[in-house]
Amino acid sequence: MKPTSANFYTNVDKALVDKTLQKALRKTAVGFPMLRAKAIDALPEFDTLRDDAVTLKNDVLDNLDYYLERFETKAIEQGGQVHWCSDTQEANETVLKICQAANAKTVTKGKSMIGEEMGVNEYLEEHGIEPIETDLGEYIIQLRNEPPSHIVGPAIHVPKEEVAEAFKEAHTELDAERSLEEPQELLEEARAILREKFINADVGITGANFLVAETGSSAIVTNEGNGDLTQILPRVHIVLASIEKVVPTLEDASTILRVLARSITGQDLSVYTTFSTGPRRDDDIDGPEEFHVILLDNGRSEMLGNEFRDMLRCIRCGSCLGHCPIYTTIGGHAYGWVYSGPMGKVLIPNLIGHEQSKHLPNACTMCGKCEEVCPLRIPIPTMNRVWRGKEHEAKYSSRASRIALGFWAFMAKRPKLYHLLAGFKYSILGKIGRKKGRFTSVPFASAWTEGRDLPSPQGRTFQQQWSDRGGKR
Amino acid sequence: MSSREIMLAKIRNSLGRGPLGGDAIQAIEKRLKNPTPNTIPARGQGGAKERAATFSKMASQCDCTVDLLNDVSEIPGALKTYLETNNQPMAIRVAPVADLQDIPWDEEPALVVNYGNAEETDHVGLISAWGGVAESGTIVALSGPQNPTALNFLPDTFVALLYSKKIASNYEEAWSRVRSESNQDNFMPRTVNWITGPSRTADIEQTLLLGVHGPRRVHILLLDNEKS
Repeated sequence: MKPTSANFYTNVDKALVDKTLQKALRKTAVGFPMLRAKAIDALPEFDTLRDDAVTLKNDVLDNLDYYLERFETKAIEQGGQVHWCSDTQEANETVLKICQAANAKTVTKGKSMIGEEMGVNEYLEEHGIEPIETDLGEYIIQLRNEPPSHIVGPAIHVPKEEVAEAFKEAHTELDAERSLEEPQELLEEARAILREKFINADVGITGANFLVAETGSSAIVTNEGNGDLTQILPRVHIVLASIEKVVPTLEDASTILRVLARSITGQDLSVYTTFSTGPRRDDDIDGPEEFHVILLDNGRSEMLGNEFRDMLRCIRCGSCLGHCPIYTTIGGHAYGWVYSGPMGKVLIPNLIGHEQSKHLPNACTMCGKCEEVCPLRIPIPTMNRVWRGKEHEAKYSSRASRIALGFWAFMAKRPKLYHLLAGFKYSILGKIGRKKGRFTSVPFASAWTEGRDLPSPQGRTFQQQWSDRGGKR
Repeated sequence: MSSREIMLAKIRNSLGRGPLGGDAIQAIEKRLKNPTPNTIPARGQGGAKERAATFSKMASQCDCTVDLLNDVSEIPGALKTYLETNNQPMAIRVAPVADLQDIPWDEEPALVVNYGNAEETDHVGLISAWGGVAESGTIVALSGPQNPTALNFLPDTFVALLYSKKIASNYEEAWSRVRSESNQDNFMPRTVNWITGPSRTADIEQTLLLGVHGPRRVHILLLDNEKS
C-alpha cells in the first residue's frame, strides 16, 4: 500500500473523532495488558527467558550472514528452494514467478507482515491471480481494502456490524436476508467460505515467525489454524520471511516462543505452532510438493549497521501497541502504513524513508512502557529520540518548535542565566497560583489544559531549595 | 552480482567485517550441532506421574478435554461416550498407524472407523500423538507415512490418543527425542505440529470464539499403560 505516514497529523485528527475506533481502542488498552500480566505472573522464569532471548538474538545479528547461509544449505538439502530478495519489488516478482509456474489461479494466504510490507496481494491481483487472506482479521480487512490496524489483531478497529456489512457485500451467493448479528454467525460464515478456498487453492503463502538455521525449517504460530490449512492443502508452499527471522536452533526458537504469545494474548503458546521443513517426503500422505522460502532484506541489512540495529530483535508480538498511550488513543491506521505503535514508528522510517514518515517520532510521550513490556527489551524510546534528532536536523519539525528548542538550548548552556530566569518564573507562577494550587488555563496551551489542570509551582526551584538546605537532604 | 551476494555483502559491510573465518565458524557450528537449552521453566518437570498431571491441567486450561484411561480396550467405549455427549456423528477418520488399528473397535459396533487422511466431509479425526509437552499441555504430532497432517486440522472434532509415558516436561526434551529417534543428520519430518487447544480467534471485537478454521474441540485420550 501507498504509505500515508506523511499525513500523520491529519490521520490523528480523523482518528480522535472516530467514535467506533475510540470504543475499540478502549478495549485494546485494557484487554491486552491484563492478559499479559496474568500470564507473566504464572511464569516466574519470564524475565530470565527474556534475557536469554535478547542474548540469542544479538548473537544472530552478529553472525547474520553465516546463519542465513546455514539455513539455506539445510533447506536445500531437504528439497526446499531459497530466494534472496533485496527489496519488495524483487520479492513480489519472485512470488509471481512461482505462482505462474504452478499455473495458479487462487492463492491462500496466512497472516504475514512481510506480505503486507510487500503489498503482495495487490501485486498478484494486478497479474491476474486471486489472493485470499485466511486469518479472519486479515480476511475482514482484505474485504474492506484496508491495511491492518494492529500487527496481531489486524481488524480490531472493525465493529461486528461492519464485518457483517463486508460479508454481505462479498458473499453475494448467500441469502441476502440471513442474520449476521452475532460474532458466532460471522465466524460460521467465514469458516464455510474459507474452507472451500483452502481446498481449491493452488498455492499457499505463509509468513514465518522463525527460520531455524540448525534444521532449515520455517515456523509459524497461529490461533486459528489457517496457516496450516494454507500450507498443507495446496501443491506449493511459499514462506515470506525477512532476514532477521533466523534463529540458531530449535531450542532457541522454543525460548522465544515462551515469551511471544505471553506478551500479547497471555497464552503460554498460541494454539498452533508449526515447524515446516522442505516439501512433502516421498512416503508422506500429504503436504505441498514444493517449498519456497523468500528471504527479504528491504533495508534491514542497513539497519544492522546503524542506530536502529536493536529493532531487528523485534519478534512482532504486538505487546508495545496495547501498552502505548499514543497507540491506544489514535489506533494503527494513523501511523499510515502496515506497522504501527511504538515498534512501527521506529521501523517505518527505516523501511519507507524518513521524509515519508517524518512526524512519527512525535507519536510518543517518552513514558518508556514499550521498552518495559518488550520481550526482547528493545530500547524503543532511545531509538525514537534518534529519529527526533534527525527530524530536527532535517528541519522536518515546525519552525516554531525549532526556535523554541534553540532558545531553550541557549539557556541550558548558560546555567547562571537559566537559574536566574527559572527562579524568577517559578516565584511569579507560585504567587499567582498559590490560592488555587493549580491553573485551569494557560496561554498557548489551552488544548493541554482542556483535559486537565496544571499544578502551580511552589514558588522556589529545586536548585534553590537544595542550596537552602545546604545541599543536603 | 546476484541479490544473494549483494545482501550478504551489505550485511557484512554493516557488521564491519568480511565472511567469518575458521574459528568463528567452528564456534557457531558447535552451537548448531550440539544445541544446548536456554532457561527451562520449572513447571512441567518431575516424574512421569507429575508430568501427566501437569499436562492434563494445562491442556484443560486451554479448552481441551482430557479422558484418563488405563487400557487400550477402554478407548472405543470412551470415544463413543464423548461423541454422544458432544452430539457428534459416530463416523471417525483414523490415522492409518498400527497402534490405532490394533484398538478393539468391534467392541463398539456403533462407531464407523475409516483409516486414512482427512477428507472434507469428515467430522471426527483420531490420531496417535507422537508426544506431549507438560509445561503447556501441548500435543506434538509429526508428519509421516502413517501420519497425515490434514487430519489435525480439517475435522470439526480432533481426538488424540496420547500415551502418558510420551509426555515430555518441556519443548527441549521433546526436541532431544525427535533428534535421537531419527538417526539422520536431517532429522526433521516435513511437519511438526504443536497443538495447544482448539482453533480460536478474537478477531471480531476482541471476543474469544472457538473453531474458526481448525477443530472446534480437542479431546485427549490420555492412556496410562505403564501397568499393562
